[in-house]
Amino acid sequence: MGLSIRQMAMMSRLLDEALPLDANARRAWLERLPPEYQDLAQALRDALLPRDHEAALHQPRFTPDFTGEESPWSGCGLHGGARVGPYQLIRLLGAGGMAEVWLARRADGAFKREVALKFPKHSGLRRDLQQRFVRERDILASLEHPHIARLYDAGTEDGLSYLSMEYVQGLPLTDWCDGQRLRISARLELFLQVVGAVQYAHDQQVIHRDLKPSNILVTETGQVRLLDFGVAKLLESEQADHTQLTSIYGRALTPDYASPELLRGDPVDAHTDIYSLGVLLYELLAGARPYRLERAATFGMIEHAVATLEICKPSMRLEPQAPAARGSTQEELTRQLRGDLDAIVLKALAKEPAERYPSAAALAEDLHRYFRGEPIEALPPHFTYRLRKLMLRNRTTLAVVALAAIAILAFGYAFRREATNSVEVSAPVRAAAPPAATPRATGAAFLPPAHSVAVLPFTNLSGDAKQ
Amino acid sequence: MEQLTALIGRMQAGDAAARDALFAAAYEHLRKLARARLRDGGRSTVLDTTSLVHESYLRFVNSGELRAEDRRAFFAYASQVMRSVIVNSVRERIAQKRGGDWRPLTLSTELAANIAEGDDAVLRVHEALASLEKADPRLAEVAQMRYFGGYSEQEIAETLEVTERTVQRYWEKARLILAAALR
Repeated sequence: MGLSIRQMAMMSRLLDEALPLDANARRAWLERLPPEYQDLAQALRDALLPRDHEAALHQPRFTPDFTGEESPWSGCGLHGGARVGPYQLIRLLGAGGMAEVWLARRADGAFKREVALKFPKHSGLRRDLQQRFVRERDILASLEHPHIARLYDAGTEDGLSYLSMEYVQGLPLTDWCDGQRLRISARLELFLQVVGAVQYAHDQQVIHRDLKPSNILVTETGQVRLLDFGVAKLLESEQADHTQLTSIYGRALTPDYASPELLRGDPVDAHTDIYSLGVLLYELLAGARPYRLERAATFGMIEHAVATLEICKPSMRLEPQAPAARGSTQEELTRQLRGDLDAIVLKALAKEPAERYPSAAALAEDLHRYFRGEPIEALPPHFTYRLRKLMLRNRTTLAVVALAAIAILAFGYAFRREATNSVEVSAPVRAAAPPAATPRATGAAFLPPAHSVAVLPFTNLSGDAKQ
Repeated sequence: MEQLTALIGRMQAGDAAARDALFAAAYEHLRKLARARLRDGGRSTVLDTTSLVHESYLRFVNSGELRAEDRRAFFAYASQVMRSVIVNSVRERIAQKRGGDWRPLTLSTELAANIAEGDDAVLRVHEALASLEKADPRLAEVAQMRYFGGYSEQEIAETLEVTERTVQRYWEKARLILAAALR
């Protein structure tokens, strides 16, 4: 069949996760493979479980029969053509440990559009949760934003819960950026789309809880779409203490994007999304994540690791291929990230929620300040830092002022010289008198410092100013 | 002819013309060697790329065209040259193949045995590698050195200035991805 460039990039990333695992852990990992990577399931199985691959030789390759009785993915017992509520299933888009996603259309022809139908596994919602489910569903369905994939509907049919969502075709944000070799500024612009969408949802009191590249797709037209907004909460069943963690674990490939409080199972608020945005920004800039958690680790180990980990600045942790993927060099990229961007990322990644940005909007505002060359909030209000920013921001004004200053000084100098000369001319007799030299000396002593103030910072900083 | 060492120096300073000149020089040499090897009375269809690269390196050093210090730079580059020598010679062979006398070419590298054999496979690996270059340049670089250059893991580690363990990791991933792509 062959693999596309996008699939190769994904497979490379996924193999990083799975290769270190032993055979049993690999099997479990494959079971939990999120729907969005389902097109690689067979290739990954072949790569990770070579013996299974031998056995699979007799099955048609790369067209796995998802609807077959023995298929490991038919957890919900669904098949193409089946009707669920008002929908008719077309084909399975993907399946993972927590949910199956089907492409479907309205069976009654009420709408032409195709939707993604998500069926949470183990979805027997407790009766007392039904009420809440309906309430939450209505809130989520009311989210309407150009960068958020719509939740159309959610319901229960014959004990089977489903969510009907906008069907988005696109690439995970990080893959898109790397594939397009986007420079830092273009990456930040896409990131700001994400932040804008998150802020919008937060304004409606909806937290995403599971922000990660595979939930943030970029469509062909270069527009960001956030998937599964609030769905984590909707599916949460509050059965065990560690539900949140298990749900992260079950659904996601990696808990790397989860905030410390989410991992601890503490109540979460908007700050948890800010943290995930921080991890995402880190990866967009440096190519690496701030840390990688071993899937095999226990809850306690992960909690402890995230709570004690010292996060290194993105500029110090560049992935070797990151500069090339950003159309840059190691030196240029390091210089670009050092300072403001480092500080913005680390503020979003503060372990204490209260030390992070108070809102997504505040994060966006700081990035805008960075773009405008203004002092950012994430850095201490140090005088020289502010002065440097001020000068960088007003390079043109500064140059004009400097030139004006030089002109005035030069003029003043010439004028005084003229005056002195005229004094000398008009009083040639008093040639022995020393004061004639004084104005000249004053002017000369005054001019060079004016030069150094006006010219030095200007030339010096302009090299720094490619932002 | 300008010395390879000088060309490498200019290439490293960003001179594109030097890159082309170096490629042409190394290409011609490697092609002749590969030809001679494959002719071999028509019996041998196994191309030992490792020895080709080493042999050409030694010849360049002995003739004074290349300093021994430039070994790293040369090796980094030679696998790329070797790749196009192999791909072009396979294309020629396919164009010329007639009758029952023709036997598929095999590369004596690990990947060849693991993934696929024959002329067609060489071209398919070449194409898959072109995709991998875009998806994950580091993996592609290691795969090119391993498959087309026939370098050992240790040689690759030295050339790329990374640990052998890293090379092994890259190679394992590259091999699995290429296997999936060729299937």
